[in-house]
Amino acid sequence: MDNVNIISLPDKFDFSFHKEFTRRYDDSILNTDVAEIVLDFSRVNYLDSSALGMMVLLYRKAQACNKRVSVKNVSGKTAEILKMANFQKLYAFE
Amino acid sequence: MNNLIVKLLLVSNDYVVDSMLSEIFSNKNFEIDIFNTFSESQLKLKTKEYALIIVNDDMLSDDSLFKFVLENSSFYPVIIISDKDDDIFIEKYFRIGVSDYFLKPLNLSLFWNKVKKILDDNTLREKSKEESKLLGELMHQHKVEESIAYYVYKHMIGEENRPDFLNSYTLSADSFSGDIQLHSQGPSGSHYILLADATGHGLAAAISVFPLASIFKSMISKGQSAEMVLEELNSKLGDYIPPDRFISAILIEIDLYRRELKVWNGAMPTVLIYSEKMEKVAEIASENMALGILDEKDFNSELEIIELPKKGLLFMYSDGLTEQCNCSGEEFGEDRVFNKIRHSEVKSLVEDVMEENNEFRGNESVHDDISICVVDFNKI
Repeated sequence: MDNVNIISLPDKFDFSFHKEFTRRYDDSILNTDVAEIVLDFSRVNYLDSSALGMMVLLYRKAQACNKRVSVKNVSGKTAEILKMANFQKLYAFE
Repeated sequence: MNNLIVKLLLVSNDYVVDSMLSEIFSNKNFEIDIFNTFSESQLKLKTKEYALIIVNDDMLSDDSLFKFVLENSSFYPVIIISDKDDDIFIEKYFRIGVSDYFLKPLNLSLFWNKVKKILDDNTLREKSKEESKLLGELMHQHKVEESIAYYVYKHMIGEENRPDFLNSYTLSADSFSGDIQLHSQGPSGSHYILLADATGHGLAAAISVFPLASIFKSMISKGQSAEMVLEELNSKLGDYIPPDRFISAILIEIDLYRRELKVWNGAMPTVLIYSEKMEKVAEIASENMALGILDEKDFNSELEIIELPKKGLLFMYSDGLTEQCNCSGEEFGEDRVFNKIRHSEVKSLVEDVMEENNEFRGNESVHDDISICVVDFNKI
């Protein structure tokens, strides 16, 4: 699946991951071969509002380039936060 | 040491040492002023800045030397060169701040290396002092700017008399709060309550709520509907605030004419409605995204409508309340909130919940802004 970029998120998904997060999706946004960016939450057990902000920004950039964004392996408290924020309206949940 | 001229002051009555020191410092970017007496050197000290003072005067009384070192060692590194090999004597001078003590005959190589180290250390110390001073000035400037920003913030948000049925509290994690609670009464008599939580906290979050406050107040005063207020807030915030920022919010409308309670919840914790027996009778979970994210066409401004209860209460809060951690990293959680509601009286509920949250937090800092808002239906 060459056209999917899977970004594995850290245990603590907050502003400290901002630079790395941007670096990991930037190339995919410009690369026309990449059709989908998947955020893998399997390691995440904490996320804050700045992480949600980063996800909104990624969604906006991906939407502008007609790319699909999705999340996978979301569970526990993280799932509750994403549900409360209604992120299923932006991201496909796998 | 850099390549600038380093000025040294030597107080000496020993011509052998004078000439040796003049020799070793002559080719190394040094300028050395030699004086035979303290009085001469002290006059010079008043008019010139030195990088180092070297005292080589065995004819001096202990009292005079002690006084000289005491007066100058806080301002300059001071080195003593002496014949006196007496541990108690030497220790006394180190206690009052002498940088080094050399016995004669001088080992010139060791002397030179130690002087170089003292000058380097002193340069670093001076640099650090300068940086501390600069930091102090910047902190002061920051405080002044913050106080101006706070003045504007307070005046834009505005304080008003809240109706009796509304009891609310906000605890800021910083000088500025990214949480805001607004109340306004429309021309029809309906009450509107907005509880909003901007991304993050502090000044950056507070700036995001500025446009929200002015749009809310102005539209409600003109009799616009809650739906229109929400659409305008979503659209304007989408334009005004950075693309990775948004504002979670709950908008409540209490329609006294139709006896209806209307609630819109966008990415905030569930709004809870309790009977007068403190039993949960309804809840309105977040069904919407926060303000400032979705395009107009995707944004849903529909409010959930229920009959306005005659008794009981409505409880709403920002996630800072339940996500506050204690020293073990445990979150305050919803259960403590539910439990407190069941066992408190409406009039003291906000204080009771905050008291328990503060107790739970202990010495931990407030991680995020915390807001609680209670509507007492008995008083409407």
